[in-house]
Amino acid sequence: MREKHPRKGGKIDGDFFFCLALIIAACFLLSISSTTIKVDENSLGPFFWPKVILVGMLICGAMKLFFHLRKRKSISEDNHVNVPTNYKALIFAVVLTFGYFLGIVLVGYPIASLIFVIALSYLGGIRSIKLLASVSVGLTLITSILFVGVMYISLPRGVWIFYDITNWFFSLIKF
Amino acid sequence: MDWLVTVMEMGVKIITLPNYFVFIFIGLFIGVVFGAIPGISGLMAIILLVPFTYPLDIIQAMLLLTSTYCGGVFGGSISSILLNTPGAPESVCTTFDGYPMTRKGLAAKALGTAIECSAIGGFLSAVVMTVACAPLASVALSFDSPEYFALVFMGLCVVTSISGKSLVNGVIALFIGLFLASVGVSPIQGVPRYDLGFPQLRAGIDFIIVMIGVFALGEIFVRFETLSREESKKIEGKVGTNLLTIKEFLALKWTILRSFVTGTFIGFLPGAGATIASFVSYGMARNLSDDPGKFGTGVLEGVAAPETANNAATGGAMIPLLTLGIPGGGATAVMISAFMIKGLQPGPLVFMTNPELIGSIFVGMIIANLLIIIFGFIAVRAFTQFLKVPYAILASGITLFCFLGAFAKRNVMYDVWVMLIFGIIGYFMKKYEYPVAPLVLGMVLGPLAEDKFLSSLISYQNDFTIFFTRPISGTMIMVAFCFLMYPLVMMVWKKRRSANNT
Repeated sequence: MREKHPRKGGKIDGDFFFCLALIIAACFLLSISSTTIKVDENSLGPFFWPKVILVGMLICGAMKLFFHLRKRKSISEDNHVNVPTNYKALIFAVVLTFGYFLGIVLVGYPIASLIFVIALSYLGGIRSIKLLASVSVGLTLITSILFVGVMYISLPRGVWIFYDITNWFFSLIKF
Repeated sequence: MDWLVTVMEMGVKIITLPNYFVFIFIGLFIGVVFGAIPGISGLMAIILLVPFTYPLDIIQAMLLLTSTYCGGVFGGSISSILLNTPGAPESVCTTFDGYPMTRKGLAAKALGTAIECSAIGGFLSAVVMTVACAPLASVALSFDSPEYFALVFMGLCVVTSISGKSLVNGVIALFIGLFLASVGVSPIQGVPRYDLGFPQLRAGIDFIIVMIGVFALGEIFVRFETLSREESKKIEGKVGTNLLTIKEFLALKWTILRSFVTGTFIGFLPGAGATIASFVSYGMARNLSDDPGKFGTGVLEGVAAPETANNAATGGAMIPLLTLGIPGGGATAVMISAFMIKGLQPGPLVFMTNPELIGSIFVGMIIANLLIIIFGFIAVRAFTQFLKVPYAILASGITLFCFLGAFAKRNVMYDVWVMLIFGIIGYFMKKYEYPVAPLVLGMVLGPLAEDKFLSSLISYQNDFTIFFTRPISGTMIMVAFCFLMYPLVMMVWKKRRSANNT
């Protein structure tokens, strides 16, 4: 569904702030582009290459901002087309992923993965309890067997009691 | 020629061993499944497979990745034909005539055509790769630092100019990639740069971690933003495959041949790849047809041309990787990491130091493309079952593999957090149409570009003209500027034309 909203002055969207952040970052990085370590005076120095890149980034970012502001002026008289976006699901997905990575450190890989798969699938619209349970158990088991049992990669085991639980689980699936 | 025969013999000997051959099967299966499912491409499969290559030897790793690459390009056609939803960007053109064929009740014929043409295109381009690599590698051996820098510069310019809607966005993405590659210790002087007081940053930012974040995690975030608006699609009718008859094949022979040549050549160009190859071939097939109006209504040529070309691009794309050590796109950039993990630098020297690896890649890709026929015919029905899996479940699985891929590299959580940050950056890049390919290639080729640029200047007493006065590097720099200027010239030309019209 597309809705039309007449707006004055156009829209400053995320792209504008993305460019602004890029310019600020480039300026900051340029300001720290020097070294106290003595290097050969005849060569271009270790910061020459990144400085060229940062100056390029700065110019492109400024150009983008300029185009953005000009475009903003030109669309101010037109009707602005707004595409609705499900930011709620997106923010939940990002927070869940962040929580999952944090959870892995605290409760270990298997428990965190079990919970995460259920939560993300539920967020994605899966409501069947059987499906949620089987997928989360299946995915956790398969990945654990592959990475711990077959490839001998030491996955995070969590802290306190979770460490012992994860340890016990990994000892079961190790070949 | 003798060298090629010896290398191929080595390759055949290795490939026939079951512990090597099995990786072609696994790679093809994973590639076709990932390629077929919309939203998770063959490229994502290759990225997520990298951690699985850690315990493998380099030949097994390359067989797995190259087969996944071939399978992924073909797999995209299944959902294009059956669902009108391309599984991968390179299969967009296949929807134009593939889906109308399904609507006409000719899905089996469309799938059969896609399987045959993919196998033919891929097989022939693998043969071209086998024949062309050795002479090109010997030419590459004569390259000095200025030529290498010019080549990398040309590759970066090409990928930037053609990879997105906006040239400025492409250049910004490239600069971000180049800058990220410069974090860590400088290549010539060994001075730490931009570590911001974090000891982990001194080791640099791993491009595989960035790729997992930007491509896989970023894609999940983008999809979740639009998940509620997506309608679930159902496959219409019974799924099967139907081979081309000899008469149909003969009628398509020039389309297939032309698309194979176009696909291989475009695949060879840095940054161009299978997507552009399929569009160009489809356009050529339509323009050269006696009845261009029938395209889009469900004709065999409309399936044969893009499917031959996109698979032919796989062999072409491997040529610069193997001969020059320069990846032309995302998939080959990931393959470079497989080389690096094993302590190898792809390029002309590998032809002398590891002929058995080169032979195995040649034979492996030829066999993988032939196996597409068997895989396609037997398994299309099975693969269609994967299309029914809800995206939320796929996303959960992919996130698990993203974590495992980032963590398994060095067994540290730091890499996982870096991956998450790049997942968010990837989301913004996709949302605001910053192409991801220049960022990735900037990260992969940045250290090489800086190293060759500075060593050229050191060798030639800081003479900047060296890049323009040497014939090969001068030509490459000129070509690079032409590619950079092309979008600007086109924009001015279009503006003038529209002004004249009004």
